[in-house]
Amino acid sequence: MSDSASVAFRFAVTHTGGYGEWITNTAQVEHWFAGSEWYTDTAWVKTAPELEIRKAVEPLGSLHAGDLLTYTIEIENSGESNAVGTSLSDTLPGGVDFSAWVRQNGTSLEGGRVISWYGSVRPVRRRRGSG
Amino acid sequence: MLSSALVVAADAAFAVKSGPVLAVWKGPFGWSGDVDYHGVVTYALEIENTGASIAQDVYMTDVLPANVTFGGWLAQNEARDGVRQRERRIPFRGDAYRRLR
Repeated sequence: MSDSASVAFRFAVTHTGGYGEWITNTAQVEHWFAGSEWYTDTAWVKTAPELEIRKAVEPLGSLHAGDLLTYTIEIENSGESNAVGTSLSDTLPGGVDFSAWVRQNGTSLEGGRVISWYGSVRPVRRRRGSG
Repeated sequence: MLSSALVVAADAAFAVKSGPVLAVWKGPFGWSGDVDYHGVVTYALEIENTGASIAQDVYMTDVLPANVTFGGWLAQNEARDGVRQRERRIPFRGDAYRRLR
């Protein structure tokens, strides 16, 4: 060992537990003269994704035959983790036909009547401790 | 017959070094913020000696928490022969030299 003032180690661990828990790790050093010292480190594992879907239609009120309806679908993730592998499907009701995308954002139309989407929804919540 | 003796006297003072002062520091390395579910965390662990003497035969141990598995070494320092993963414990036994001033 070289004449250094410190001995350093670095290692990696993989989390295997659940969402929303603490990883608490304590190191202890002992010496017959210097005594014992502890150092505890804690790290927070992000909570699970929490998905909410909202759907709005315009215009509101009574319609005439042949009027256009615009639907807006929004998925929001209020958890702390990315919602990987999220899928969405929306089957058009009877009495309407698909007309056009206003904002497609990766969605597709299957069979002319089912709107579908697959992807990740990032959290909107700020990271813990970031104010 | 004359004889003479030369006596030379000298005093010397020596200070005994103060003992070693050890501190252990541990924390995530190169990462800030929360851990991703089933993500990887890299820990840096350091034993520092701020005293005036070498701390020989230092024993350090770090027990991994239950919700992680050991993923591998990134730096074992020069004490690699003394550091092993054994039953989820990371032990080290060796010397911590004094801080150079």
